[in-house]
Amino acid sequence: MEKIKVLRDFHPCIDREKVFRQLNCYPDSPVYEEMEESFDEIKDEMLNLCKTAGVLALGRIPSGYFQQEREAVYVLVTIGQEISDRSTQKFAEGDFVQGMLIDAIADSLLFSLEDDIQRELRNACAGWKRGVSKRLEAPQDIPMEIQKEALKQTNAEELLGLELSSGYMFRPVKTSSQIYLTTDDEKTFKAQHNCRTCPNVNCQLRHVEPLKIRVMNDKNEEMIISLMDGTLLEALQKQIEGIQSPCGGRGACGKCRVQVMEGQLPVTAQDEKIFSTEELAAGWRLACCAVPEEDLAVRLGWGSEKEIEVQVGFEGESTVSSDKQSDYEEKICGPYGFAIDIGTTTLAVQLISLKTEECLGTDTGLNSQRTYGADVIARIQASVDGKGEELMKQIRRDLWKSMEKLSVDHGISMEDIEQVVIAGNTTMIHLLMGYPCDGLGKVPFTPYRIDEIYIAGREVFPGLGSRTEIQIYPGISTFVGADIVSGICALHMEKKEQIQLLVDLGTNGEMVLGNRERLLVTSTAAGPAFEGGNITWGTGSIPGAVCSAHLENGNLDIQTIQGQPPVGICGTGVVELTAELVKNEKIDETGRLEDPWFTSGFPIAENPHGEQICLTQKDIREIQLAKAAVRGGIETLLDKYGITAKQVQQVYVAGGFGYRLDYEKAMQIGMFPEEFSGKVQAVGNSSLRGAVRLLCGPERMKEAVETTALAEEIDLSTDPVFQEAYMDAMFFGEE
Amino acid sequence: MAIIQEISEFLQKGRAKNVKTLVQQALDEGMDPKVILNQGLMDGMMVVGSKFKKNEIFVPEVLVAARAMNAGLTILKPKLVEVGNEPIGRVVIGTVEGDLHDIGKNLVGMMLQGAGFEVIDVGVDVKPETFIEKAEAEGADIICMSALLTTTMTNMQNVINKLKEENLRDKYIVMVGGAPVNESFAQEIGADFYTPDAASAAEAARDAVVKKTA
Repeated sequence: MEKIKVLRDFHPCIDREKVFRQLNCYPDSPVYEEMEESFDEIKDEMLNLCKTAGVLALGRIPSGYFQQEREAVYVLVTIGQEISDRSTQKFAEGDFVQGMLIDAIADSLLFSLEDDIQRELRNACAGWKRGVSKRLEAPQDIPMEIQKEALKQTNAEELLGLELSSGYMFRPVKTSSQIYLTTDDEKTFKAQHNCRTCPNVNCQLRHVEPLKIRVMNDKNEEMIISLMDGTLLEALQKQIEGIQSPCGGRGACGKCRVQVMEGQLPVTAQDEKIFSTEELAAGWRLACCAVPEEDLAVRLGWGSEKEIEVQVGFEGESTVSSDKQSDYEEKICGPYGFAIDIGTTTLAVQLISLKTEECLGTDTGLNSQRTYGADVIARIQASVDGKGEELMKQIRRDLWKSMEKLSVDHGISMEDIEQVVIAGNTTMIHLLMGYPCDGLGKVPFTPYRIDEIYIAGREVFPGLGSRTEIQIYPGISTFVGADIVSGICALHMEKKEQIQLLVDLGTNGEMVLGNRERLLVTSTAAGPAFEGGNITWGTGSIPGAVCSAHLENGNLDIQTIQGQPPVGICGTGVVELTAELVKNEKIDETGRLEDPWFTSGFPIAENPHGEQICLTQKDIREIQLAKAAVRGGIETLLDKYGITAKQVQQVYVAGGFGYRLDYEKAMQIGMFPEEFSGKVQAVGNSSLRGAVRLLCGPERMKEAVETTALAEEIDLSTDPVFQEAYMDAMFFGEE
Repeated sequence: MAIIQEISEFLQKGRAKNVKTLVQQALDEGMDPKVILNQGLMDGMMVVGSKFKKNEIFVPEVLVAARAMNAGLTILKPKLVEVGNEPIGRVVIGTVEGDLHDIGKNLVGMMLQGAGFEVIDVGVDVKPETFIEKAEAEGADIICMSALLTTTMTNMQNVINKLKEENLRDKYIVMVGGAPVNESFAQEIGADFYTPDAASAAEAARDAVVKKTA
């Protein structure tokens, strides 16, 4: 059979819908009719001007393009130059509408030849006893220079009158050049254009079917998700609850790792940075960087955050017992209210009887905004990048879900909800209210609004009752927000004579020191280590997280949350492990791990997949930075207040991490001064408690406003006392 | 003055016939053709351009509006010549050597016209010397280059190099655009402006000539 075949049997047609779609012209456009008129006027003429011609050749791709010379089929098809010339002419005449329409019609005509081309290709390949293993697209699969070969090997210059420009573009400009790698297997015929891998993502003709991804979680439960486009992480987060991405999908933290069990997922540059050669070979990939091109089966590398423990209890007062649970036999009547604490990671909502202050029910969940990153900086960035509205919708949706659930569970109508009180850090409040976040992210860190907020409930949650009001605590600054003010009020710090210290241990360690005379506040950049972030095997406080450790005579005893098989290490686990290693002198004063663990990490446990969970040198550096930031902050506040650690009479530690922390161990690693011994009390969720207080005593808002006026903020970043205390606190051992 | 406002509004809606009639009527009433151009036609086109940039409208609406503007211009032009109206600037526009795509370039030319420029379209596959010769001959202020492929966009550099060789670089404002072009590429080759769409190109060109003549 001939190596070159001239094609004549074409059936060009104009797909009206595609033409209009390509122009972004839809029936609701005010100019739709006018465009239709123009279209009808010219379409027949265009069919006449369309001079289709094509050629198909079995040839070779010379060595240099691939590792070796390859056999290939070249196809060149054109609709001729006349149509394009007409478009140019119309533009020159000032009839831009027809000029543009003609160009779109020309594209439609050229694409309509695809079926004819596929048919001819199949016939030709059958004749040559070849199959097609891959369709090559220039320039993504092969350099544009290949067009020289296409022209030469098809002899299209002579047969069709085609020319090639110095930039490797064919003239007539509406010419399609296609290259197919052949195979001896005649049954293989992968000749279709793949829109999914085509880089022209803005192409109006793009058509992609969703992929099917089978996902196995750490409990070996299987789910099937679909992926239309974008990254694997985006698809996972949309369809499965609790998927982690602490770095917000930047390929930096490695916490969205998945193992490919079936199918192919190309290795990305970020994969190469995070994984070893063995791990890559075993199929490990970062979901945030993975753009699947085919159906896959993957196993999630990390435990879901879905079951993360959310601290809702409060133990700040010795006189009042913690929240009473309602007795269902006893009828509690309205009015009711919701107390809400918006955390960066977790959310807590309580249904409260305003008369009795009793908590009828609690619902907790994850903050969906986590998909944009674990910390407030990432959220501020996302908001500044134009995602503000989406972030606002996410948090409102999350909270509404909890409120609805509580009201349904307890048979209470939204009309009977009188008040909603919300506490949260300054960024969370900004995002909830849809305020611009630009000021939060750059010097001098000015919030858009920091005072107390009263707003009709329906303005934030349209489903609330018509009389429902929302109150939001005031904050003090960008760094010390409404959640801390709420905590101060919950603990009555502003009313007591004794000197108290409140520390909220999280990514931003907020601190308050003082009494009713004077309150100093600050926040210290502890980083995400206390929440398991930036720790190689770190994780939130999920079932199976190593949370406690004891090392003696080389024997390591560990405990995990809920006694589940170990999956990673949570914040308290990192602190306890570090303290034990220091005590056993496996870590020296400067924080260096003894050999051989300096390079390999200290082995902690094996996870259910047989992988070694360990604490690495890098992790210890992270915890050194975090604890030094906390200690430096405490020392600076004490210095400014003019007192010593001994004079502090009561230390409250708020937050989930603080609740489970062993304070003796925290003192062992130098996070707290030893003088705090016996004075530390884990208070739990003081922010949520403060919200309940305000709910049941609206006059407390006045106290909160007075508290913010009393508070004096210390900026640590420029403070020489802090700099020195921070450096001092970096090491372990005797001070 | 109401008639000027009406011209602008009909133009924004792309009503060529109404624009034509009203321009004629304004002329018959003895209105200054420059005012009709600047405050009627060009003002309308500016609104369209800014709506397009903000994604409030799509290409078809812009095309229809530009066609209406052109309709008005055909009537206005002879009068503008009579009163000696000068365009706000002259632009030589073309697709660079090796590249045959012209639709993007045509859209930019259209918006430049709408912004009051005289546009000299030198077509596709344009050699560096042609850009420069044409610009010199026509007394252009701006040279606009378009490219659709990474293999051809490098030819933009050749034009700029040639301008430098002939000591003409400072005489012209050089603007570049096209699918593979971006801001950093424009800076790398020493172009004055990169704009991502036709409406922005017209705006940037107008700002640039205003600054140049100021």
